[in-house]
Amino acid sequence: MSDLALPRTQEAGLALRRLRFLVWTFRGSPSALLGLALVAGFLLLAAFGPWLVPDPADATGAMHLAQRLQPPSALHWFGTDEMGDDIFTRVIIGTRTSLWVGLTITGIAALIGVPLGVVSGYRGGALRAVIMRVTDVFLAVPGLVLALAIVAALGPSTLHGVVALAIVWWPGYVRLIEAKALTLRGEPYVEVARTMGAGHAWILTRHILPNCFSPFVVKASMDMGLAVLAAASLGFIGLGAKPPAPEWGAMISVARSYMPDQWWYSFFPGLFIFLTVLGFSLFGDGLRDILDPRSARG
Amino acid sequence: MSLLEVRGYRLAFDGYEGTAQVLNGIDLSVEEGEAVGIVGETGCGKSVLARSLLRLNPEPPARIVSGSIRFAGEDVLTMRGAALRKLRGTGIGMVFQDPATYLNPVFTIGRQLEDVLRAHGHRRGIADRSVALLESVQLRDAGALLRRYPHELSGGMRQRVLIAQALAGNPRLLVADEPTTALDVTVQRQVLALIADLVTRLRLTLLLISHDLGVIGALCRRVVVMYAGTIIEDAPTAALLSTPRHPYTRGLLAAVPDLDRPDRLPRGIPGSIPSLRDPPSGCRFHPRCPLAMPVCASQAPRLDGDGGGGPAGDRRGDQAGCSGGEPHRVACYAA
Amino acid sequence: MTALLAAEHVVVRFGTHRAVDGVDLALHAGETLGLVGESGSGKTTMLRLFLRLVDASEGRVLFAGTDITHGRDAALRALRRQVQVVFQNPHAALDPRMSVFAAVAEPLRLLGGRSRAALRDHVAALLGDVGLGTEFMARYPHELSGGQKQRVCIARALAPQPRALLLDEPTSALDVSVQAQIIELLAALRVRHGLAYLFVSHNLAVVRLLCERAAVMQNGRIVEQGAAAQVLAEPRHPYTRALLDSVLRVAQA
Repeated sequence: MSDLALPRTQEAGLALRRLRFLVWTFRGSPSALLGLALVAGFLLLAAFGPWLVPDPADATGAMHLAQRLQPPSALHWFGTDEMGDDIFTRVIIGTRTSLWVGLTITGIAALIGVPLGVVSGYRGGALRAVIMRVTDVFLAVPGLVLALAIVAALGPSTLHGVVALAIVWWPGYVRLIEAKALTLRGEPYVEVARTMGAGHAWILTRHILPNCFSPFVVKASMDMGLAVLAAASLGFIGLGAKPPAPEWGAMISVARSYMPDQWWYSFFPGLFIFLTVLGFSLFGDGLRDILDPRSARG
Repeated sequence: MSLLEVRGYRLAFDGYEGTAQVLNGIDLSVEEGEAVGIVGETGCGKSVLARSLLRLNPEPPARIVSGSIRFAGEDVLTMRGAALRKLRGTGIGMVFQDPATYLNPVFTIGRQLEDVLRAHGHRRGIADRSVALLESVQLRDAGALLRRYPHELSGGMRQRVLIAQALAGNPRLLVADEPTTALDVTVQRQVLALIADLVTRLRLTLLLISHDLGVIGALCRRVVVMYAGTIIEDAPTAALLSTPRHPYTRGLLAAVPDLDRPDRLPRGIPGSIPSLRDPPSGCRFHPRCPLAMPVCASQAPRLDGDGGGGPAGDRRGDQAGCSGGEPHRVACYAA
Repeated sequence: MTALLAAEHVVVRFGTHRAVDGVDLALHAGETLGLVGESGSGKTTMLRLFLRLVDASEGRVLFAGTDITHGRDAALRALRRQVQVVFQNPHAALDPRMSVFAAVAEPLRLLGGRSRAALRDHVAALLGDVGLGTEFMARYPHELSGGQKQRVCIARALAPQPRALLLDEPTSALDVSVQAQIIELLAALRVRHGLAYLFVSHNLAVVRLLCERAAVMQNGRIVEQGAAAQVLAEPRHPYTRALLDSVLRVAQA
């Protein structure tokens, strides 16, 4: 929509007001602030992690057997694992993997689910019936079980785990977006567009899709955390990343056999998974307050 | 003692872009048996004021800044729990605007009336009372109606059910907020006649809120005009319509299209309703007023006839005009 | 003279319910026709029928003599350009995610072939025509009052330079002082652009002011039709009389 761009100064003014609204909403909600802080923290770790960690080589499985399985100390904040690698380093580096995994799963699921949902809700009729039935079939199978089956067939690796989970995840987006598109279809401004001579493609891209943005963004941000958890679950079972890759789920899988004496080995990766899911959920809640005019306070 | 006494009531709404001064010092008295209308346009605060009488504005974001509301001598603003529940429905009954959204679509009419009756403490004879209520609002086949759902009724019938619900607790004051706005004009006529009949028969006090002067003129002997959170004129209806004193009232009357005078094109009031977050200083109407004077921007005029008003020396013709012994009050330096 | 829009013996059925039950109605170039009635009378359905937002179950709909009863897309292109609509609720008739500029420019973009600068000039001119300054271009609907929103809707409707405006209760959702401004505006625009109006309303006083001809609908049928001055002052049909009697007068000096 570049040729409908507004003069620069007016755009800047608009952006500033939106930012102020964002800040005000987040400021009024401690939980949303916590979510924002956690998400921001994880993004920073993912971006700058490799430069912040004390022992970068440990991330790829360097062996320091003399230091194996040591408890948390000033030298190794999270202790060391059975190879002597610094767990702190591995957890931090693992952040990048986890976020990449979450983003990719959510991204692919959305890329499949949103267009299907929009078309289904807007067109209705036979097309909608077909899409919704296919969606129903996917939703009927427990997600993680289906993902397991797919990864087992493809062979264990992070990439296959991502693909499997994306296939499991897209129906949720179809359901959500289809409902929204259905209500949007009857809006007066859509009817006006039809009386101007707008075709279906025009209405879909300019009126329906932009107005589906809010529910999508809320769901996507919450899904990020859950996708990370799901990927870690696959890793835990041994069907995701393989050692010595520093993936949280895989680390916990190995750490299992060292419980409860070497508790730190499973505790810290687990803590990070917990904080990731919590952070994105709270962040998504805060976003919903901003984007949904009815739930907003003000 | 007046049945309803509002003194200096100020209400604000806190939002992300600032605080809106929604009600800016409301002084209103309603005697028992009176039929008073409140007329005003968007943003004047008439609905907020009506809901304030029953403490229906969620606090926050609403915030009572100052003032008092007394009903039958009791302070509404400090009521809690049981006293507040008693006020709602048995002291003051309220009829809302849109019968489609104010009736629960998943319950039958009978069930909804039952809920209201039980809330007022009735335990037995609910069905009979429900039938009696429906008949009092001139609905036929009341017995069969109890088993119907709201969507099976016409707009006029639904509004009658809302009125029945409001009267279920035998209130002394009936507040009707735009009761006929959502209705066809022929149905409106019937519903207004019904309200007039009920007010007489049940000896109710009526507070009728509307943007339509025609509706108010049909039912109310006295009318109060609100603009941007302030009462700017308070007079007997006949006097207001024949000799409006406030420039806004005059503008409002000039804007109403008259079926019997098609040659007279209605005139709009230039400008638009001010933002309540950043209202004009002094009189809130002064930016749009053809008679504005320098003093209008510096200090808001009070309704005359009040003790302790504005600078008396700046007013012209400040004696409250009287018609038939009832005061015609206006908040304006130029009136 | 061929009518601009004409409906011949049209019936519109929704399931078993006949919203429009055998109506003959015509709008000629440059004239103002008021269509009055209560809810369920079928007046809104007639308006939507002329816009081809609904299909006729029986009968014919004609635009400038051409049969458009069953036309789709390409066949309706001329209709889409020359007949525009203003709906009742300005709050719902504007896409909340589009700026005023984008909303008014949309019909122009659909017609195509304009540069960015030309679009901006054209939109500015349209906004000026409805009494809004250029500072409104960057605003979003939630920042506008009801009256301002309706002006934007009118500007948008005027963008493709139509020959007729179909207005569905354009002032019913507005304050009375704003309504008067919009009525003034509509009267002026009509003269300036030589438009025909189909004015659907339940407000008889407004129809009397703006319209030369009036048709009264009840239960899907037209019960009375003629000069507005005649129909709304000396009605012949009892229903019209009942409608007029129900109008509350504001008794003034």
